[in-house]
Amino acid sequence: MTDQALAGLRVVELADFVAGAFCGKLLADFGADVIKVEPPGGCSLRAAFPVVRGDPERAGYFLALNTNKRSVTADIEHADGVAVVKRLLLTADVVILESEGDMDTVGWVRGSLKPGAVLASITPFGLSGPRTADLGGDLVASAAGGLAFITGEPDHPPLKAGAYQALHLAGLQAAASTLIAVFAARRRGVGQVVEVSMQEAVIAVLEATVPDFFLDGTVRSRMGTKHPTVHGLGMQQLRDGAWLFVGTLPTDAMWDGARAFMPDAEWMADPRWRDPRTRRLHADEIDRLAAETFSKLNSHDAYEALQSRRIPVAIVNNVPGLLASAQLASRRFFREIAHPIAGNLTYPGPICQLSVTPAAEPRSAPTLGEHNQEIYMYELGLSAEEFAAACT
Amino acid sequence: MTDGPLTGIRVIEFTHAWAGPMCGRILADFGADVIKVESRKRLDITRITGPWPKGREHDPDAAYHYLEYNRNKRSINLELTDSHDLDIARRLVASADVVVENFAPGVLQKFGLDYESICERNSRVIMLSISGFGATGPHRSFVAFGQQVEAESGLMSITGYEGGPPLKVGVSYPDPTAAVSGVLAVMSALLYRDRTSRGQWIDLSMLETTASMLSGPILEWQLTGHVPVALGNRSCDSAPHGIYPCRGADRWIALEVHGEMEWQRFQAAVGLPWVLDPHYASQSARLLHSADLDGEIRKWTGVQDADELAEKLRMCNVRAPVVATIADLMRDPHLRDRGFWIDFDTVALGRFRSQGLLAKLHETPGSLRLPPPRLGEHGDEILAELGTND
Repeated sequence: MTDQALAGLRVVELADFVAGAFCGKLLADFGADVIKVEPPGGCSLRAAFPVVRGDPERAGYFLALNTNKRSVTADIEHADGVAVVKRLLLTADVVILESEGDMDTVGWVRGSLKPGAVLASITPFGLSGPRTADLGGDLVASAAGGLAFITGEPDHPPLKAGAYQALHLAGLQAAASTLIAVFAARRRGVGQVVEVSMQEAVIAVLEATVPDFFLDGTVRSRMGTKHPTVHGLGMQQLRDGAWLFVGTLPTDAMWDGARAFMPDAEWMADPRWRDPRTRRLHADEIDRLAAETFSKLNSHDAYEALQSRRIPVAIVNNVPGLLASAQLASRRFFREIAHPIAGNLTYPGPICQLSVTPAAEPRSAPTLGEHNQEIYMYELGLSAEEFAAACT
Repeated sequence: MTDGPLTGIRVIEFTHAWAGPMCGRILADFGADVIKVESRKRLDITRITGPWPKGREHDPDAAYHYLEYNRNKRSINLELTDSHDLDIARRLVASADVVVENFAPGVLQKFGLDYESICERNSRVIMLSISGFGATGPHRSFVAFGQQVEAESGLMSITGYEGGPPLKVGVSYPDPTAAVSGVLAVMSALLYRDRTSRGQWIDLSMLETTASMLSGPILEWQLTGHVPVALGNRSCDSAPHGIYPCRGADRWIALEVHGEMEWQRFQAAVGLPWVLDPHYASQSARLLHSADLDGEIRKWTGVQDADELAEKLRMCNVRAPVVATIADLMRDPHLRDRGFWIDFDTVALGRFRSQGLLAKLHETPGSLRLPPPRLGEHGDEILAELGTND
C-alpha cells in the first residue's frame, strides 16, 4: 500500500452534521486516521434525508461524508463518556469540533488536548462577537453570509444552493486551514485553535461583491443565470429538452465562433452586442433571440461542436448525468464501495489527484460504534470494566 | 513584517481569473512569499474585465476583481515567449516550494514549465495544476469557466425554485471551492514532503472538486431511485424552512425550525392563533402542510421590518437571520466586532476593503502585509534576489 499524504495524522472528530463530517472526510481521504465520535444513538446525519426505511446505516449523507473513518460511540452527557473521550483526545494531533457556539464544550475539549494539537472549531458565527451563541444551519449561513441574497431570479425570493453547500464550504475551509495549523505545529511546535465561522466561510466565496460595494456602492442582487459583467448566450433549452449553458463568451473569438456555428442566426450580427463589454446590457434580448436558434439543436451535437471551436459551453447535468460522465469515468473519479448493510454504492473520489500519494482504495463509512473495541480496548488500553462503563 | 504559519514557503504563481489567484492569496495571507508571474501581452483576465472605479476605466491595476484576489503577493512581468524572460521563470520555479498554475492542461509544457521539467532542477517542488476537467481524459482540453463546471457538476440541477429551470449559484461557485481545495492539497503535500523529502504534482479538476461537494445527492439517487431536483429553500427533514419577505423593497429573513423545542420557541415568538393550528402540531405534520404554513408565515413577516424581526426571533433563540445584502454585511456589528474585514491602502484607489481571512488561527494568524501588486511592481526586487544583473 502506498504511503498517504496525511498518514500518521490522528484526527478525532466530534461532529454531528455536515460541516465537521466533511472536514474529517477530506482529511481521511488523504490518509489521516480519523476517528468519529458519535453519541450512542448515532449522529444526526444518520437520520437526515435520504434515509432508507429509517435505517441509520442506510443514510445517504452519513455514508457519503464518513468514508475512510472509524466510529466509536461515547455519551458525553455523562461522566464516563467524557472520561473516555478525554483519553481519546489526548491521542489526537487534530480535533474537529462542530458545535453551535457552546463555549462549555469548546472549553473542556480545548483543555483536554495534548501540547501541539490543533483544535478545529466550526460554529455558525465563530467563537467571538455578539452572535457567538446564535444557532445556525445551511440556510442560516447562506442567508447570513450574503450568498442567498444574490442567488435566484431578480423578481423571485433569494435562494440557497442545493445540498448543504454552505456547510460544505465551512468543512472545506476548516480542513484547509487546519492543515496550515498542523504545518505550524510540526515546524514550530505550536498548537492552537483554528476558528471557522460558517457565516464567514460563505462570505469567502462572494466574488468581487465586497469591492463593488465598498468602492462605488453597488449592492449586488440576484441575476438568475447571468454573469455580472460578461454575457454570452444564456441558459438555453435544446430540442431534446436538455439545457445548454452558454453563459459567458468574454472574448470576440468566442462570440465569432458561436456565430460561425449558427450561420442562420443573423441577429448575432447586430452591432449593439458586438462588444463583449456592452453585451451584458442586452442580455435578456440576446437570450430571447438565441432561444429560437438553440431550440432546433440537439444537445450532444451542439455541445461537442461548440466545444471543438473552443467555446465554453456546458450541458446542465443532473445527478445521473454526472455519474455517466465519460470524463469522470476515464479518471476513475467515482468508486464503488461495499458497505455491510447499505450494500455496493458509487461514491465521488477525493477532491484531487496527488501523483506520489494517490488515493488508496476507499473504505466505507463505519457502522455505529464499529470500532469501539478496537480503539477503546486495543489502542487506548481500557480495561474490560472501563470499556463496559463507557459503551453500555 | 509579521510572521505567519507559512513564512519561508515560496510560491510561484502562473494564474489568472479566480481559482488560481485565490489559492495563491490564501497561501500568501498566511505568510508564504507568493510571486505572481504576469504577462503584459496576456493579462490576468480580472485585470481586463473590470469593473473599475470612475476615472480609472481599463486600468489593470484598479480592476476590482483583480484587487480582491491578489493581496499579499509580489508581481513580476515575464513574457514566456521571450527566451530571456523564460529563463528567469525557470530559475524562479527552481527556487520554489510550490508552483500554482491554472492554464489549460499542456500549456506550460510548451515552455518547459511543466512538473516533469521543473523537477529536473527542483525535485522537492510541489506543483498544483488547476483546470476545468483535469489533465487527463477526453474532455481535458474542453474550455470551461467555473460556471460551465457548475452546470456539468449537477449543482445547477438541484439549485433553483421548485419545478423551475436549472439555476446557478450567485457566484462562479467552482472557482473558490477549487481554490480552497488546492490549498488543502498543497498543505497535504507539504506535510508529506516534510516527512519524506518528496514533492509531487497535484492534478485538480474543478469538476471533481465540485462533484465532491455533492456526495449527498449522488447517494440519494442510488438509495431512493429518484433523481434529485431543486427544492427551493425547503428541507426534507423539517418545516418551516424558508426565506420569507419582510416590509420594504427586497428585504427578507431566513428561518429554520428543527424539532418540537424550537417550534415551541417559534410559537411563543409569533403569539398568534395560527401557530396553534393542530395541522402544525408535529414535525411530520408541519412538513405535510408546509405550503399552508409558509403562507401564514409570509403574511406575518410581510408587514414587519426585517432587522427588527430577526432580532426579536434571535432573542427567542430561533434561527432567523436577515438575508444579508453586501451592505448589511459591511455594517454587521458582529463581523466588525470580530475584526473580519481587512482594510488597506492601495496606490491605485486609496483605501480598499477586502474579505477577511479563511479562518482565525489563534497563535499564528494570517495578516495583511502587502496590498495587491501593480503589474510587474516587484520585478527589479525579485531579479535582484535571483542575482540577475539586468
